[in-house]
Amino acid sequence: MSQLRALTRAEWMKLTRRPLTRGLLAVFLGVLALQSTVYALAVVADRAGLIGLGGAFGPAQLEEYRRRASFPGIVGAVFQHVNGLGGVFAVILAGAAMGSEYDWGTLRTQLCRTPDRAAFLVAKLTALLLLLLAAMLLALGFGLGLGAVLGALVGGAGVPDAATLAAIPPALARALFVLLPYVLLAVCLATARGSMLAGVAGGLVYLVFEAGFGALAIFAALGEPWRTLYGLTIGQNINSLTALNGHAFGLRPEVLAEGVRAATLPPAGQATIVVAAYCLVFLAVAVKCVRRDVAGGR
Amino acid sequence: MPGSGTPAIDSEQLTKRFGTHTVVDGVSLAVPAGSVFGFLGPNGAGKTTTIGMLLGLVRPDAGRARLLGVDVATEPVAALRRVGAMVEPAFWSYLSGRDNLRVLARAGGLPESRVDGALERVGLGERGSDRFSAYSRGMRQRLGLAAALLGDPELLIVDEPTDGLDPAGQREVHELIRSFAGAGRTVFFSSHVLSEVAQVCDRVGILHEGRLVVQGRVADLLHGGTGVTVRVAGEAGRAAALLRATIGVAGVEQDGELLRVDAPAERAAELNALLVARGVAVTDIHANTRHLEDVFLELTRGIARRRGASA
Repeated sequence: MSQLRALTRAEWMKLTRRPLTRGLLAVFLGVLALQSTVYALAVVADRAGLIGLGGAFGPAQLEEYRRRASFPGIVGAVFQHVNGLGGVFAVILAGAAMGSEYDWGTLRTQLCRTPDRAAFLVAKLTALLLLLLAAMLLALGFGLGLGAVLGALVGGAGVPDAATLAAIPPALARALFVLLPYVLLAVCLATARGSMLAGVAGGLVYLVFEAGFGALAIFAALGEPWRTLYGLTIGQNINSLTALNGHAFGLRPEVLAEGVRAATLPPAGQATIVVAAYCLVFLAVAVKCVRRDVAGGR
Repeated sequence: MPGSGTPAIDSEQLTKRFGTHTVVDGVSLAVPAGSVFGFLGPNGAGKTTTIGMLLGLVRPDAGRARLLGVDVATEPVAALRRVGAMVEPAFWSYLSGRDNLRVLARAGGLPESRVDGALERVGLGERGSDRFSAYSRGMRQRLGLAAALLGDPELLIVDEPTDGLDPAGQREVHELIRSFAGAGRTVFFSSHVLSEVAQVCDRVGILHEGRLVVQGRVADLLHGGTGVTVRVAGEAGRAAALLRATIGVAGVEQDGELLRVDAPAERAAELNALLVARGVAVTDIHANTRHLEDVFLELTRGIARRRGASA
């Protein structure tokens, strides 16, 4: 256990000092601020009749924008942002963190001192998840600040109530759990191919494919067994858990995204099991691959 | 410290194949504790793969290795606990030299207070705050050595530690290795530079095409040089005739005033006395000693000849 703690501390240092980490976090917070501000401005502009937004957006959409720019909805919006853009960034970070160890030869540097490879992998994943948790807390703090400003602007609540605050810890756990398969997939691909490119690009290509899987919803409409099969894809199950986080803060994600309509999503229990199963598969492959020879030298 | 008589490195028939190509073929090393062992071989001989197997980075297809008496395959953590290694100076480029060592200290559960001492020891104290990406090749090598020394190891395994260093840098590394070994610890280092191994090591193992062709004390390998070279002032023909007539001289080759005498090197003084007694003016005489290059070439050419004959 002390070895794992020592390795995790080392991984934490590597991750937090990495310019990529800081850059991604800055972009993440910037986009969150931009998105929330645009929602708020759309509502304000519509109310003021400044531009003809009424024609562009329906009342339900504008109401959803208002919810997302004030409490408690802005907290849900932060979590949705975490599991949207955050998922993409988690893939980039995890793929780079693991793949660069191979590309730079630092895996060799480390393993000839601390040769327990499973412990190295677990420490790497633990540090990644701790970093994502820290980033989420930072994003939440940022979101609370945004909510205070934008909430007043759109005529919504400018401070979170007790129920909102109480709903945050389980939502955090769900959001982290939802990021886990993406992190593991990127680490698994980076380890399998021994490169940063495989981890990052492979993970991103998967995300693109996953978006494409949305088109399979048309087959799901045909009934069984297509519906069940479609319900076993990672994306659908993740949507299910992500939507839960939105609903917990009064959002209605289905108003803005057709794919997250509750009726088409697997139940939360099933989603948890399916996501966990994917995680186990990715982890098992990564553990197997990290045990291979670490070639090198000149 | 390993028990009395326990070799610092002990491998039995280490073998590694990549596909159908056998890169390391039955290498059995015996490196006594307290020695400086040079692992010599041309590029591509299998040195790095062998070191990879010693350090648990590469899994052998056959054979086993023990470091300080502990089996690397079955107890890797215990085997490497007292070992410092530098396979190639690879570090996290965005971190400073000091932070790179801090990462390794943390990972190894070592106190971070050792970092500055390690940097000072390799002459990087002033540049410890610079990013690794800004380091020259020589500085990277030195940081690699600092990392290897961080855990105050009993056994230091380094792969081509002077590769890419200028002569001054090479000398510094040699001194560092000697000072480390002077404290009774063991150094195993690979090199393709014969003169370096001859200068620094007391023992050597020569790897050729994946096979360990010889290992032993450097002094023993260099012992038994043959021939004496004599330079005379005039009367070279008479001197050659006198030498040819001497018992134990198999032949004399004359090149102007230079005579190459085929006789045991230890007879140089006796031959000098003989010539002087007969009135020959000897301006220079020396025993021909063997160099590691000669040993290396003899061994590797011998193998090539045997292979050619059997083909």
